[in-house]
Amino acid sequence: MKAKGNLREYRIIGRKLPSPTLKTPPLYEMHIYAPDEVQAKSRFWFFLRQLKRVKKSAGEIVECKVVNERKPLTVKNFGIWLRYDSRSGTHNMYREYRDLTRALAVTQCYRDMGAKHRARPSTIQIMKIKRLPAKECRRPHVTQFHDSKIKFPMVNKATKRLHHPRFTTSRPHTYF
Amino acid sequence: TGKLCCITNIIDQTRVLVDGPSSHVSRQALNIKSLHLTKYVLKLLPGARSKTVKKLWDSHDINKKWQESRWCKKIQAKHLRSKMTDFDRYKLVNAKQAFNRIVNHEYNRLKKKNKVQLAKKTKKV
Repeated sequence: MKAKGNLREYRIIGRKLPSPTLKTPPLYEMHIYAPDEVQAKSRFWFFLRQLKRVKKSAGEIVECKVVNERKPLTVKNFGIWLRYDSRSGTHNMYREYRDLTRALAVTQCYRDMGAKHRARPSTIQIMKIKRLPAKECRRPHVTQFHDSKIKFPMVNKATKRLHHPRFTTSRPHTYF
Repeated sequence: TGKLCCITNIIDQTRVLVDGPSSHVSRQALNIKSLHLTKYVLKLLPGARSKTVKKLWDSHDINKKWQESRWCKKIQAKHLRSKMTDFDRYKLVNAKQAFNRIVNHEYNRLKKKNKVQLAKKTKKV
């Protein structure tokens, strides 16, 4: 999978194609985080094949819908359990992120794993994601923001528009 | 876009949740780097609703205070300057010349007067 842009959460339900021996096959549902529907469906079959005896060619997708966040404008803490392949083996991990929606948190996770462990998106499997109340968070980089009287200085900000203008006679403002 | 908004919550070191119901800014997450802090402070609890923000904003009359501030006026002047046409620049040059003419005339008059007075003083001595 290519984790392009912001990922979206898809709820995918699939089943084996009905046959004379099996008139109503059981439905399997998964929540997949992918940049678009096509990659979501692909991931769905990837996982389902690992777990159940059904392939894409012998199955059908019953529903593939985008799941939107119920409250996308409140800040939340998410705990993500994942499994990834490193260069020497496969490991489980638990990571925490602070974000507005589940999909954005998972996007952060993919970027973070790429940065810190050089893990490519195709090797990462999101096992579980859970919204956590503040007291259940374990990671210090998340709990440090659980302070209603938080304050931190906004240090010298490097100019975003470095080349507008590229040559100038006045120094840029780096203060807030 | 040069609009005022209120930071209602902090997401992490680089992003904040921002809201400006009285200043046409929808509630959204913004990078801190795209913001400049002003001196106005609204006493909110973190994650306050848009309704609360609007109430506090209007009761403190932030829009009016901002319009009257030097910072806002500078931004507006900069905006006007960027919109100038050649005709506006011609008018500006003439206006500056008229202004400077008045100032210089008065300044030179006072200078001359001072020179005369100084000459009188030294002469006396």
